[in-house]
Parts: sequence; structure tokens; C-alpha cells
Amino acid sequence: MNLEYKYMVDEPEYPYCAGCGHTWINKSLGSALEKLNIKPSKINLITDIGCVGLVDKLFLTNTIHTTHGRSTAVATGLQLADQILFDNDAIHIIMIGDGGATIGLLHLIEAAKLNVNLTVILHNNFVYGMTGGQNSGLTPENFRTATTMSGNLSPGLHIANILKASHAGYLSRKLATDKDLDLAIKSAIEYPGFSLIEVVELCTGYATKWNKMTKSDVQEILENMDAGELGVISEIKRENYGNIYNSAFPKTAPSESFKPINVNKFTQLKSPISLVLAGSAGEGVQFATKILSESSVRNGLNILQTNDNPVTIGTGFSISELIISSDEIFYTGIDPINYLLISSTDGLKRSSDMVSSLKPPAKIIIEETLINQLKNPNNVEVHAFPFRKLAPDVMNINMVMMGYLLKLETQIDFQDFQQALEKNMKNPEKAIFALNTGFSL
Amino acid sequence: MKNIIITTGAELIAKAAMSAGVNFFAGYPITPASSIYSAMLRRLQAEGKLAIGASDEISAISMCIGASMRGAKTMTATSAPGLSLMVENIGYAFATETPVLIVLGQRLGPSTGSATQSAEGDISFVKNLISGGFHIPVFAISSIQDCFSTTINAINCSELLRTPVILLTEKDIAMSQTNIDFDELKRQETDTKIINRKYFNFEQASVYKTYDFDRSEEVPEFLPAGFGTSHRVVATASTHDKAGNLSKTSSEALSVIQHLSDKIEKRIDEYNSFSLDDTAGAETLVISFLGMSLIAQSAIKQARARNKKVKHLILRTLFPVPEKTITECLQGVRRVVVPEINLDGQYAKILAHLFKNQELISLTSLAGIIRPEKILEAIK
Repeated sequence: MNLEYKYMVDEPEYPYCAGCGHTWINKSLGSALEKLNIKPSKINLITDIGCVGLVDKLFLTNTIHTTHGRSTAVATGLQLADQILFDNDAIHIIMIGDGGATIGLLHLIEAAKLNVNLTVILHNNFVYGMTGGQNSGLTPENFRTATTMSGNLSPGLHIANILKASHAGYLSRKLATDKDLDLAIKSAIEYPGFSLIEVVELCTGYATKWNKMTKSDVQEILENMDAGELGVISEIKRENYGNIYNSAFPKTAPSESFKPINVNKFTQLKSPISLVLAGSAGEGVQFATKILSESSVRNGLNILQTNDNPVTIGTGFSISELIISSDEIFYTGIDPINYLLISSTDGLKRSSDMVSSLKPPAKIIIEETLINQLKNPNNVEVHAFPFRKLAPDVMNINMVMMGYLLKLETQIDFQDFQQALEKNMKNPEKAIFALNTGFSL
Repeated sequence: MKNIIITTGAELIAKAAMSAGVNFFAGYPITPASSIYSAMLRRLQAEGKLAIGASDEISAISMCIGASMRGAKTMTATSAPGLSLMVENIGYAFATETPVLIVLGQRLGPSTGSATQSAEGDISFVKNLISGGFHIPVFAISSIQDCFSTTINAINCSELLRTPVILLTEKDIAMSQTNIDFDELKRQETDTKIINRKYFNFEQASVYKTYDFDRSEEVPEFLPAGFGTSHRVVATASTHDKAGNLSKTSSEALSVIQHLSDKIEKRIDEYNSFSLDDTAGAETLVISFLGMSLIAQSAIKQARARNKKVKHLILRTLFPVPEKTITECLQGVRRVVVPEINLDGQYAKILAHLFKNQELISLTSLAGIIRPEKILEAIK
């Protein structure tokens, strides 16, 4: 045969024990590549840790030797970048053992689920061969290994079934000694999505010393695992992830995502304003504060807003802290607080430390029904109203409070606040009603 | 008229990453880094670039490495629990000379700690991520305003040196909002130089060695894996010669290892970022970084108003430690104040050996900021 490309070094010295299946797989891969006739530098051979990772020096393709089990994840990034970012069609082949498939199982599942266009050649000899013949996740039940000398106590993972349930596009199984292994590898590579070929083979360094492994023994082991079927196990038609991504997110020219606010007015504050709005999640605490931030910025002022909430953002307290200043803000915490707005029990509980450190002329603005629970050791001024009752709905409780705040704090322009609100909402009517209700108290 | 934006630190980091040419992000949700993940996902997908939610942080960093080997500019963001999972492959990226940016949004540790409590306690963690005693560059964002330029500097460094880099920030910067002068940001964007790794000229050169260099601190030229030239890429983290062939202790392989360290340590001047607010005759030097920088500025303003002579060094490159920058500031200084939000003054301890003739005052707070008055008190 007159070959256009060379895929393997001349007279390769296979670094494997006599009879090891890896040698057969290497030769078959070389032969499959010859049949495919693709430029070697357009082939990325991604190799895992273990004896399987010794192949790099035999092949003339690109070779990328990875950490243990991560070959599939590295290949996933490589392939997706190649296809999506660089509009290229390089071939990606992963050489991984049963150990790598165990530690890197999630990466295999992920690549299968996404249908990343790559081919996994799983060298399954049931043991970790490089480190002394220990058992892997794929070791069959009763199989003897260095770490299960009296027989493996649990059944081996059925990789094909796991990946089938993970929507793998193409799955096949062969014996390393099969004469047509090269054709089977070629078919797997040609599948335009995720393909995995499990090649069952002998570890002659360890496994065959401790287990009977004639061809019929191996077949029996496989049948006991319900993995006796050889050849193509499953092939489905699925678009690969690169194509799906390209249709979902077409290439467009960069555009600016920030929407700047034009500031024409420059207010000078007598002194910085600092406030805390303490309420409950889902009641618009952070939103109301955001609008105050924005209206302050419209007035040429500097702001710094920090929000706090439990990790579950839909429940419990929600607190926003805001500093408004004419000068540059060197974040030094919110102390001293000028205004503490408390709109719910959650907010009151969470802000109790703040309440006790408040000193005049600070003001507390609080939902009327909470007043009995409020401890006010320094006797700061308290403004209590039935904000909850006055609000058109729960989402706007804090907007009523904000309206009342603007009544007290005349340095922030009410009209500017209302404009900022209108700019941030599709249907601002309720919020504007709430704001005006608070302002007119 | 002024154009102003209100933005979180996370949004500005994402903006900077896009300006620097990042076109691949793989992430896994974790507070407070999720804010960066969301911002990158939105921006990249809008342009048809690649953003992907990985199955875990190991996948995320591995995907970034693979994409980077193909020539993508890659990034991920996490906090300490996620970084713990990434450590193996940050080492892999280091040894295979693969650029990748890892943004670390710090929160209170140890372990899962407090997800929504800001902290600066991962400084000693990121110092020693690489086995064998090697260091990767670590950058620190000093304010929301600083997110843009320091992010670009970190990405530029990773490309220049072909190395993973860590960009440290914290919850209070990533997730707090402030007003930014948009015109100034656009000016910064136009003026900032973007560095890309040097590509191998495959049309002219006849031989390609994946890890080739002449001088030890030189960075090998890059060839994308799978591009399809007449040259091949041989990538490995196992001890290798310049061509990428495995070689346990040959002198060439040892020189490759030495080179991994030299390119980072010896070229610090090319990526070291700091600002010095100097005062003639200052007896006190305040060294700050991360979110404490602004607070320190506030304290120094107050100190000077009281006629105290004090100078302020804000560090944005924490590792390798910019020893020259620091020692040059020590002339006439009798006292060094280092405020940081962690248990026992992690960075102050690392710097201590530099202060032979100075008193070191390490100010710490386990969680929550150190107030300017405390710094003021230390300035004396």
C-alpha cells in the first residue's frame, strides 16, 4: 500500500509485556489511521495515565499526555475549541485504561451526554497494570487482583450501560485479539459525535497470573457481567455538541453590554449618607436600594452598595447597605449608619447588632408591627408606620419605605428616584404608587 | 456631561476578560465566583464564543487546558472548595506551559466555611499550589475600579509566560456595586496593551519542539494542537526534554524544569503591578492588597491630615513576592503595617524576612474589614 502519511514511528518498540493487549490496540489504531488517511497533525491523540499512556512516543500525530482520568475532559475542551472557535475538524482520540475510566468516569459521562465529537479507546484489562495489578472500578466480581487476591467482592461497572444511559452516540466492544479491530476503531472514529470502543484485553503482567483467561474464560467473565455482546452495541443519530452550540450561539461582533447613565447634574452632599435596608428575601430589598443607587448616580454622586443574604436567596433575610457620597468612597464599612430601615422580622433579627450600635442623629424607619420587638438602647429617633399595610403588594413594601426615606432625606431628589424606577421596570405603576404613598406620609 | 455605569466587580472582571480576548470559559457554580461565571457565560454566548458549565471544577479546569492547547484564551472562576479540586490540573497546566486564568473569589474558610462572608484567607493556599515547590503568578484585585486593569494584567501574564495564573478577589469586591466613569473605562480599554502568546512560525521553521527555548527564562513558541501544519505537538507534564519526549533526569530535562521556574521568577518586572503613594521622610510604610487597599488609603489620608509621614504601597502582584519593589520602599522606614482579613496575617508572615531593620505590625481580622482607625493607630 502506498501511504500518503505516516502515523507511527519506524519499527516501533512497543513498551508492553509480551502478550499485552495494548500492543494489539496500538497496531490496530495505526492501521485504522492509515485507512482514514487524515493528516497526522490534524489528529490529537490524548493519552491517560497508566501503561496506556506510554503510546505517545509511538505515534506521529499530536500527542497530549494528561493527568489520570482527565484525558476526556482535556479532550473535550480541545475538541470544542477546535470546532466552535476555530471552525476546524481535527480528530480527537483518547487512549484510556479501566483505571482512567474509573477515576475519570464523570468526564466520560459528560462527554457522552454533550455528544462531543471524540473517540475513546477504552483499554479494559480489569486491573491497574502500571502500579502492580490492583483492582479498578471495572474489575469483574470474583476476579483476582493484587488488592482482591481472594476474588473481587463487588461486580464491575458496566461502562457501556452507564454511557448508554448518558446518551452516548456510539458504543462498541471488541477483544484486543479480534482481527478486525482496526476496522472497528475506524468506525468509531468516523462517528460524528461521542464514540467509545471498549477493547477487552489481557494484562499479562498481572491479571493472567492470578486468573484463568483463555478466550472462553474471558467470554464467560463478560457474559456474567451481561457484557458478552461484541461489535457495535449502540449507535444513535444525534447532532454533536459543537454543531448544536454553533446554531444556538451564532458568531456576532462584540457589542457593549454596559448601558451608561448620562449624568448632567452634580449634587454636593453636606456629608455622606449611609443606610441599611433590612428586610426579607422576595420583597424587593436589593431592588429598592439599587434604584436609590442609580438615582444618586444620576445626581453625580458616588455610591457603594453591598448586599447580603443567606445562601438560599429566596428565603430569610435580605440586607442592602448603601453609602452615598460626593467624595470618593474608601469602603470602610457602613458605620456610622444614618438610616436603618427595617421592613420585616427577618430584617429586624439580622440587624439587631446594628440597632444597638446606632447613635443619634441616626434614624430608624421601621414597620409599625415590629415596634414592640425593637430594642433601642441609645434612644435614636424612630419613625414607625404600617408600611406593609400601605404597600400595594409584598414586592413593594420596601418601596413605600424608600418613599418615606426620601421625604426625610431631601438631599436625594424624589423626581430622579422616580425616573430611575421607571427606567428599570416595564410596568412601574405599582412601584410608583408605593413610592408616592411613602413620600406622602 | 459624564457617562457613568453602576457595576459589580464581577461584571468588570468579565468585561476585562472579553477585552483581553478570552474566548473560552468553563465554570462550575460556587459563591461568590458564580457572579463571574454568569457574566462570562452571558458575554461569550452573545458573541458565539465558548462558555460551558462543567460537571465539576476538575472538568472545568481540564476543559480550559484543552482549549488553551488549541489556542483559545481561557478562564475559569471558583472559590477555595473548587480550587481544591483544580489543584491537580493547575499543576498540569504549569508543567505543560498552558496559559489559563483562574479567578479565585475568596470567602471565609476553612473548607465550605461561609459562602457569603467575604475574606482574604487563601493567600498562603495559592502560594504553594504546585508540587515540587514551584510558584505561579498570583494577582490581587485592590478595588472594584481596579478589576479591569488587574484582570487584563493577569491574562497578559499567563499568555506572556504560558502559565496558569491566579487572580485573587473576594466577595465584597466581586459582588458589591459602585459607580465607574464609563468614558475612563473606554479609554483604559483602548490604551491597554493585550499580550498574546508567541506562535511558532510553521511556514518558515523546519523543526518544532513543543518546549523549546534558548535562555532559561525564554518562553517556548506555541503551536495549536490539531491545527494541521506539517509539525506536531507533543504535550506532557511528565519530565520531558525540549521536544516533549519523556526523560527522567537528563540534563536537558532538568533544564526544562529549571526553565519553568526561571521564566516566572526572573521576569517578574514584566508583570509586577503596584502603586506607591510616596512621602519624603516617611517612617511608616503601609503595604496593602485586595479589598484592604481602599480602607488603607482612607487611613493614610487621615494620618496625613494629622501630619504623619507615611507611605503606601498597594501590591497587585503577590507572588512571586515582589521583593525588590518592597525593599526599595524601605529606605528610612522604621515601621511596616500590613492589614489583611485573615486569621494570622498570612502575607505579613511571608514578607517578614524582608524587614531586617523595621518593626512589622501585622493587622488582622478573621472576618469583616479592619477599620481605618485601627490602621491609623498602627501608623502612630
